[in-house]
Amino acid sequence: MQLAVVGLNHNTASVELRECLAVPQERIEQIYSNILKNERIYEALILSTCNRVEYYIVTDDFLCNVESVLKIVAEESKIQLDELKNHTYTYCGRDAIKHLFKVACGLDSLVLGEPQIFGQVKDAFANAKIYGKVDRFLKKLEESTIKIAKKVRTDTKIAENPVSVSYAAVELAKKIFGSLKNKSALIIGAGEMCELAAKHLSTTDISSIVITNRTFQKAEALAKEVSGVAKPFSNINEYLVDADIIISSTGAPDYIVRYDDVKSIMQKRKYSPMFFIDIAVPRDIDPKINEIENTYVYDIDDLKSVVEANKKAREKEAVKAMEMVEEAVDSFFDWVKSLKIVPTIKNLRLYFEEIKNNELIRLKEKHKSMDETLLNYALTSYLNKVLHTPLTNLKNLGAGSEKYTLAEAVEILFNLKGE
Amino acid sequence: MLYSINIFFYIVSFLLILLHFFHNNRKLYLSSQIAMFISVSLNIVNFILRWARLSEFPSNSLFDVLNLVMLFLGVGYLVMFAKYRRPFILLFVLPFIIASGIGGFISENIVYHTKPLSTFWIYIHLPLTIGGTAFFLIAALAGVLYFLQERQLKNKNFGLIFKNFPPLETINNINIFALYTGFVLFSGGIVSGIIWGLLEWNGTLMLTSKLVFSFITWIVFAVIIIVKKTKGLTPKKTATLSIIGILLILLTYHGVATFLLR
Repeated sequence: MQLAVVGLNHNTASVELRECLAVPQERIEQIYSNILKNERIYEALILSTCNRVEYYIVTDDFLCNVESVLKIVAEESKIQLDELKNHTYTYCGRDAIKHLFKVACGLDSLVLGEPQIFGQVKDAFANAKIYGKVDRFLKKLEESTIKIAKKVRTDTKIAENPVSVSYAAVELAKKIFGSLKNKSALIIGAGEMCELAAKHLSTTDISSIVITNRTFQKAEALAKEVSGVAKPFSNINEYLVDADIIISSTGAPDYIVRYDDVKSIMQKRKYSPMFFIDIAVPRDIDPKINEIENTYVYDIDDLKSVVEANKKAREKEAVKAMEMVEEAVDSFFDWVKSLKIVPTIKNLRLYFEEIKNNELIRLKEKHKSMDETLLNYALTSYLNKVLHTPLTNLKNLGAGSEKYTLAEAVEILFNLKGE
Repeated sequence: MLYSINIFFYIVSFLLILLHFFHNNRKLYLSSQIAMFISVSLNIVNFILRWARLSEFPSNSLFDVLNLVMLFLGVGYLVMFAKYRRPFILLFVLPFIIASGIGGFISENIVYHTKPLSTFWIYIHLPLTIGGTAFFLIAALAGVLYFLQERQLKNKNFGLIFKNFPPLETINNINIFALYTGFVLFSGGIVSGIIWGLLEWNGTLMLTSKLVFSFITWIVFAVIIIVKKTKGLTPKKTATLSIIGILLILLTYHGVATFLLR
């Protein structure tokens, strides 16, 4: 039994193609049913996110069966099979397991180490249990996937450092204020950058977000999205008094927030800290403000350098994470290999049990007065002791690919070497 | 022997937190906190055993005073850690604890009083004064922490200090909390000292150098707190004044030591 995966992601397919192949919730049951019609596909898992669509199957013949999955996908998405093949990748066995672990840990994501994918993988397993088929293999795979993803998240710092400008700005604010509870933000502008920053801020426990923009309607629209308050652009200095975090991104040719204004505002604020984030080019906030006590001004270049440093830190952590993934793959593969040996262990045990039972019957007939329970106990105990070493060795070493002569194999099985 | 083990654990805790600073490893962090907890516990046991052995409150030698300083700094750190969960204060507190411990070793034979101070007031005055001083020292160390982190933020240095040290407002809160706690304890120490003095000197207060320096220190901290409460003091100024305050206290102790040793 092997795991195989066929899929595409942000590296191999355009967003248009990924859109076509995304699995809508209402079709998932039917797609699972189509895949599992193939009798040699025993278990299946579909992972569909905005950056990837992947089909995992447990099969004994991955080449033919991956082809059958591809045909279903092509039919479902109305894309030519050859065209589809140009954008897909296929992994099998160890590589497929490694791929899933990498995906769950965010090591195959567009943003290295992003945490959302872990939840999406867990959801995919949950869906597979409802609509598809999850048996012993996928159950163990789910368990191992969750374990490695959690381990990578706790033992490395892969997701610690923000790698987007707006997220980095919010994280920097936390480095000044600690918690954003009871803090207020003022967003000057309502463009894309401001929108991203405002959305990031709204996910924190910040107490209020004020949005001001030359076109008041745009400020109102953004305020609605982030549960903020829109205010007219003309009175910026009034809002500054109450704002702890100021994010600005307008198209203004000159500074909007000036040194002298902030200096007098700081006196009114009793020098409580102010954090200015200027993501506009040309800049909206006078950089000289950084010289005032307890004010911190960061422009787009400062934030970009934070992001670049964080990206490098994540890449460094990814190396550590990959080592952990390799270990987890080894451990899972050992389990897969041990599956092959289970029938042999069962048969060997049955073979000896049969001899024991026959011997018991024979002795019982011969010695009618004999204590059967005692004899059964003695024989069972003897059998367990005799079989303990070979069965343990078989379990641990039986799936290996080393070649031995029969005599060597017996020596290894019963630990006879050196005796 | 127990004293040496105690200092050894403090040193271990310091090395672990130092390693954690550079390697950011959770196991190192937990080990340093455990070592610190063991150290403080040993310190308490050590103090109680010495009290039992001397049959009086251990206060008549520089060794005892430094032992008490060590203990209160340790307890002070644990209080701050329980409240703010910021382990890197240890990096600053432990050198003072270790220095006090080693100082105790060196000064074991320096005795203040030849006859034991059996008065009840020693039990109140000494712990409150030393406890207050320990918290003032923690406030000053938080002040140093504030300056370092503030520089990182102003200059946009995103190195180890920036990553490991707490946010500015948290450091400021640590500074204020330690300052207020220290002030309450120190005030108690001063008041109990005055009462003790009045009782000892038959109702007249002698203006000794110890008393004068203690008053100056107390007034400095009282001014910091009053100005902060009324006019508002920037975190940077509070940090600066905390550092000046602790320097004054050290001067007082120097004065006290000189005075008592004469």
